[in-house]
Amino acid sequence: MRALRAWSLRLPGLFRKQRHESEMAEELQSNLQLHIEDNLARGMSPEEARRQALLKLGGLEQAKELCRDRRTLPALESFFKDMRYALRNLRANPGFASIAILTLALGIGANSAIFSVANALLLKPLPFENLDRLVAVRESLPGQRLKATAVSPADFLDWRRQQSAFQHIAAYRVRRVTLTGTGEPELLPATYVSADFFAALQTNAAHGRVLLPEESQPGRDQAVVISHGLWQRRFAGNPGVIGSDLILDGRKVTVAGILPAGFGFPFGTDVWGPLALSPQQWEQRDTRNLYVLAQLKPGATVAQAQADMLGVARRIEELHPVTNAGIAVSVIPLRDLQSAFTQPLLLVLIGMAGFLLLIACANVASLLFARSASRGKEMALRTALGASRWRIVRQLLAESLVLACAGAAAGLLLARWASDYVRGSIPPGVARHIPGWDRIGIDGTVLALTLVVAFLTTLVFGLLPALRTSQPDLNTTLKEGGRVAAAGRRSRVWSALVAVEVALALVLLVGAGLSAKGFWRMLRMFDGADPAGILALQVSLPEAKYKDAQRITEFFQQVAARMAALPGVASVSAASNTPLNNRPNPVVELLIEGRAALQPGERQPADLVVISPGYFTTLGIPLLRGRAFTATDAAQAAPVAIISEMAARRYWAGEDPLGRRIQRTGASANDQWTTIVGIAADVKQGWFDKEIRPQLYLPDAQSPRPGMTFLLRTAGPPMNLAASARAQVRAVDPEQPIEKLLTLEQMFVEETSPFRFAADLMLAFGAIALLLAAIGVFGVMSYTVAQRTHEIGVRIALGARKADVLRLIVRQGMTTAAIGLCAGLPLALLLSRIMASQLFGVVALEYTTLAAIALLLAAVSLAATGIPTLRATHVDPLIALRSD
Amino acid sequence: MAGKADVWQGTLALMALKTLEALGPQHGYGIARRIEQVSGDKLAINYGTLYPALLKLEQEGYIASDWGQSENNRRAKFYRLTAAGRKKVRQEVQEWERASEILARFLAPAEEGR
Repeated sequence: MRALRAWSLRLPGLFRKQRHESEMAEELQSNLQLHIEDNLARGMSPEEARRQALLKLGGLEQAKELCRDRRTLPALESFFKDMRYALRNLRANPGFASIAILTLALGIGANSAIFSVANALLLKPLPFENLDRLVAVRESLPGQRLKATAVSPADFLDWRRQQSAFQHIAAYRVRRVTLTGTGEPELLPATYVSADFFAALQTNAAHGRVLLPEESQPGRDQAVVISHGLWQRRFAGNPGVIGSDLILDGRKVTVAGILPAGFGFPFGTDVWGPLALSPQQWEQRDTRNLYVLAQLKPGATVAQAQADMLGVARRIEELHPVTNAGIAVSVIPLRDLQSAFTQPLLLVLIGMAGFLLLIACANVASLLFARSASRGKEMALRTALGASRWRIVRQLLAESLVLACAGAAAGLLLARWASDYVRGSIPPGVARHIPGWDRIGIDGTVLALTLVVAFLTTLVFGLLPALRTSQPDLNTTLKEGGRVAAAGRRSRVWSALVAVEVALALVLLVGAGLSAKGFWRMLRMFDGADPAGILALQVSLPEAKYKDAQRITEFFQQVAARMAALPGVASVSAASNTPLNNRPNPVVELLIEGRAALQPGERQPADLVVISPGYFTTLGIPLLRGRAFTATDAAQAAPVAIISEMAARRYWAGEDPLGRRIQRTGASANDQWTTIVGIAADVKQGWFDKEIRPQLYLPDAQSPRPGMTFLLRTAGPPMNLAASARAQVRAVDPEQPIEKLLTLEQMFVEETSPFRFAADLMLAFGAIALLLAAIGVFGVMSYTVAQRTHEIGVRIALGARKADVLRLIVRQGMTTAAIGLCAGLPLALLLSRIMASQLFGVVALEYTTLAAIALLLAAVSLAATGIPTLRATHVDPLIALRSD
Repeated sequence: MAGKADVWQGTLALMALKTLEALGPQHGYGIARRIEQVSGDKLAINYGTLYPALLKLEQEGYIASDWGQSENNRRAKFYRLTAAGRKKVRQEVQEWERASEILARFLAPAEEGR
């Protein structure tokens, strides 16, 4: 009780120090006077009276100090004092403080940013609370190494009846539908789902309702639910849209509900309708067109479900050997399926961020080491004056704590900015295909992780030198010159730290250099016409409306003719695919007239691209031999084809393919042979293709495709023509939506943006690593040189030339850097191998790049070593001698 | 200060309280002097140790202080006993008496010899 009261009085004592101090002084003074007067009254001389009184008091300052401790809480007070002292100390060394804080901030910021990306993309790519229990169920063909294929309707029904591991199991089918009726026609990603779909995802409508089980019956399937995004974009968030009618693919449906914002499964879907298959369709076992999603029963594991489903699959296999021989099942956690695309890149990035943090730690550690050593004398003096070891350690720790706090705060600011930047760095059109992207942000986990990392780093690296400095050998340290001896021992520690830094920086820089170069090469992979001058407009004609080939050809010919008439359009063409967009072409197997049948296992595949006349001139792809397609290559004319250089080289080695005739394998005997009329230069289709693939071009009039991309080469900026190009499509068919309208260059950029994002990050990491390594080398060399100023002075006074001294010290620094480089090389090689295997065709192991980066790092180390040394050798030897 | 006993910890507070009970409000120097006098100059009170003890007693609420005038018209801080302080004195005195009685039995020559 009493003790508590005393405490409560002592706590405010911390803050009323001034008043207490003066009161105490006054009281002591008055008591002293009383004593003196007493002594005088006893007949002492004034001097004697005063002397005796002071003796009795027993040391004025000591008494005051005892009272100070008594009045306040010494532990708490000294904590504040430590913090204040630490702040003052850091302010007195703004260079050290800002470099240490900046280093920590960069390391922590980069890590938090990467972790927030990884968190969003890998750990919770989908916003479902029961994500851990959601699985995808697919058919698999272990014999043919097919891991996950779609499921047939009949198999799904059997699964649903026989399974025992799932709470809910639902099938869905994905396709695109055309929304017409109100405003601009639009192509929407739609998903048709069986009854249990929303129950499995534990999702309810935000407005209205989700689909009802009875709506899965043909004839009652007019209800749809729409995404929050579509509701906002197309209907301006008007709740009145519920119950209203939409026209999808020419069919009237009713909006039953709107799903919550952020719900998007399958990712990017805008419309969900009931999967209303006819009884005949449900009996199909050989058309595999459904995807299956399931929710595990509570307590059931993926492995159990897998075992259970394998049993089900075996029973089906026995009953239906014709359709289901060799077909097994794979149960895949939904999370893994969603992050498959982003995983490899992210893992590389996480590794790099980890390296960056290590460099930052090494840097802070070397800074703290250097600083603690230069303060050895201060600490020895304080110890000699009676400071306890614990007191000194505490004070050094306080400094570390201040650094850590400031570093963490700055790092978090940086991370926030960085994750915002990352979220905005990819065009929304591409980000839509990366699950979790829109949820990138700093969350609690990231925050906690960051703080732990910051404090551990600083405290550990602050404590080690603190423990070291706090037990200085008083004699050697206080004696002048004693630190030269100590420096020798310590400089090994820093040298090791610097070597580690240089090694890690090399690894990061190599990663950055290779990916930057890869990306640079990527953008130059297309060596045709300038992609910035070509407008691409993608159209998919709905099957229901464009049933016969004639109508499709007419549509594309009419639109192309109208576009060609637009002012500013140099040439127009249409193609089933555009170069370098990662969308694979259908592969056809070639049969060459007059050749013996292929051996079993021998294949002659070619990528099929359907183009209209003018394709090669529009894109600037050189036609090497023969002729291009013309308007005379019409449906009824003799079939013609153009092959790529690679196809010519591979299938007509040493022969002239022009005039030869081919057929596709599987063509019936009375099909016409197709004559090769031209050879075009090779074009890469996928960014990550390891090799150029043989291509076969067919004229669109002879093999029409409903989905084509118009390509317009324009005189001015292509986007100026966007509106009028769109108008030509609507003029021919007002209900026809346009899928994509952008320049070829924008298309390239969109397609490559996930990779560009990674390359940008790696470049940033590399630059930061270089900077940190330079700071580390510079800091340690500055310190070493400062320690050796005396020695330098002696050497110069004894007649050594400045150049000799310079060489001596620089050699020491460069040896350290060289050791670091040698240690880093194998790691860098390993990293570039990993990257090359993950990013086929983009990142290649290049020894020239490797060598250039090693040289760059060596040059930076040389500068960081040379500058402080140069400065030291310019000091007047007399001053240098006196300095120590 | 040879020959004079130092005041051992814990007893100084009681002596100060007892002094205040006997003399009424008193300043620090007065308390020190009084303790020395009562001990027959066998104790030497270092004012430096008395002052923190007084501070502690004040913080615990056993004594209170006011600034006042000394007999020779000097401004000084006067300490006085509070109600809690009076109770504390009685309690402490009892405890001391009991303790010293026990100790005395140990130290006294055995009456019922061996």
